[in-house]
Amino acid sequence: MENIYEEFFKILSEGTEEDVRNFLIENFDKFPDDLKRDIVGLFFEEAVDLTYAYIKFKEELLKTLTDLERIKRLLEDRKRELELKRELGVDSEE
Amino acid sequence: MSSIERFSRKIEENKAKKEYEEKLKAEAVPPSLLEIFQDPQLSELLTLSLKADGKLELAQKIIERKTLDPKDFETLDAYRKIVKEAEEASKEILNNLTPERIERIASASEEFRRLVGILGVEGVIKFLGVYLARLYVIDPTKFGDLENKITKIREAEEKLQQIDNELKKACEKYGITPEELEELYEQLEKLRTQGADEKQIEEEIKAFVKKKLGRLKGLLDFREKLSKEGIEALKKIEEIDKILTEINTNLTEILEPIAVVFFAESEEYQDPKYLEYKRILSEALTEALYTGVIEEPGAMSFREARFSEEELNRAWEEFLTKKGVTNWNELGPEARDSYKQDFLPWFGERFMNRRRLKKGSVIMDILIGMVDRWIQTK
Repeated sequence: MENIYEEFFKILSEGTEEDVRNFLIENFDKFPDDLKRDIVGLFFEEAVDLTYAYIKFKEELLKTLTDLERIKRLLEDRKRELELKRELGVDSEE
Repeated sequence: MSSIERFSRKIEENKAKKEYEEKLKAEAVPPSLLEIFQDPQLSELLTLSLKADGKLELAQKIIERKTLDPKDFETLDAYRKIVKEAEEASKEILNNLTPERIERIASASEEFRRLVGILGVEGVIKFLGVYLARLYVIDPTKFGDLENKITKIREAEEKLQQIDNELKKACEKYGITPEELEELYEQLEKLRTQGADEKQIEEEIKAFVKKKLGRLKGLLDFREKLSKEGIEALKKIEEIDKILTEINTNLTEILEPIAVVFFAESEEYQDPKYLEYKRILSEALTEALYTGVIEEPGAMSFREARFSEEELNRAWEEFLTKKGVTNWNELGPEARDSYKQDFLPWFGERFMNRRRLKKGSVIMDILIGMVDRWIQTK
């Protein structure tokens, strides 16, 4: 039981972020309840942040797409208008 | 002392004891102090809230189960209410965490998904109940932020299906064709045959996703810049064509990885090779969003906190020297325990100042918990 903490500090100083995280999950059952509680809390908070960011991203992306469709329609209308003017010989280009 | 005197004293002592117990039970709003003292979790919440306000002496009195004086009862009344609030606030969040919602949240993080696999949803909820009540006491702002995000996730679930349908349509319009999807998979395979391992492939995909999502800013700029008046002021057809091409290219770039994630769920893409690709892309997508393409939550990492056992040993030696302890091996268990207890806050402060870590961060709590267990081996 003592060794697990020594092992943890070794990984903390020498390993990557991913190594530390993996270690906490792989050895989860060996930790006392207060540490288990904090480990669950840490990864829960992160998962909530990620879920929230993903949903926000989708909402923002959809809003951007809707706005861009509107902008594209306006651009195409303006293009047709300019094409018509060109055909009629009233080219507005300066 | 005569028998009568001893008897009278005993009666007096019993009376005082009874009055004291009555006082502990007296509060109109539950939980009473007695209930708190009988429940280790509530007791811990009470001492935690006292410590958070710097009332260390009273917290210690409660930990050591020492007799409280009338002034303590007055002080504790306010903290008893905080314990009640913390319990209720934690329960309210838990009520919002249905098993389905926990599964949804777990799908966004590999580590949390693995924990749900180990503990089951019920096991996770059990730990979260205690964790959230503590968070309410230690860091109410963070608690509020978390509560807010969970509420937003719950609210978004109702419209998420509709958002997904709309995005799918956009993916079909601008995103990737089945042939292009096959081509992307071929590229992945090519890396594998060139000797790249899984980690390198994941890194490649992450870079690919990040680059694609980087185009979002360009699109957002278009949205801001191109007002109705601005469009009407455009005079050249070529200029309009250029803008339209740029918008379409950016849309295709952004929707490409998203299309893979969406389409891999369709029946025609149930081939394991697509599912594996989808998994990696999906993770890369959430990671890209999390690490700055969309927002930077400013979370602390273990990497910032790295320190070795040698450093820990050096800190322990320094602490003992500061305390003037030269005969550690000759000390009795009580004296040793007392030094071990003093070491934790000393190390915590020193560690936090040096590394400029955020106080109350859960990573900090985990590290201190680890140091606490390590010091017990001394």
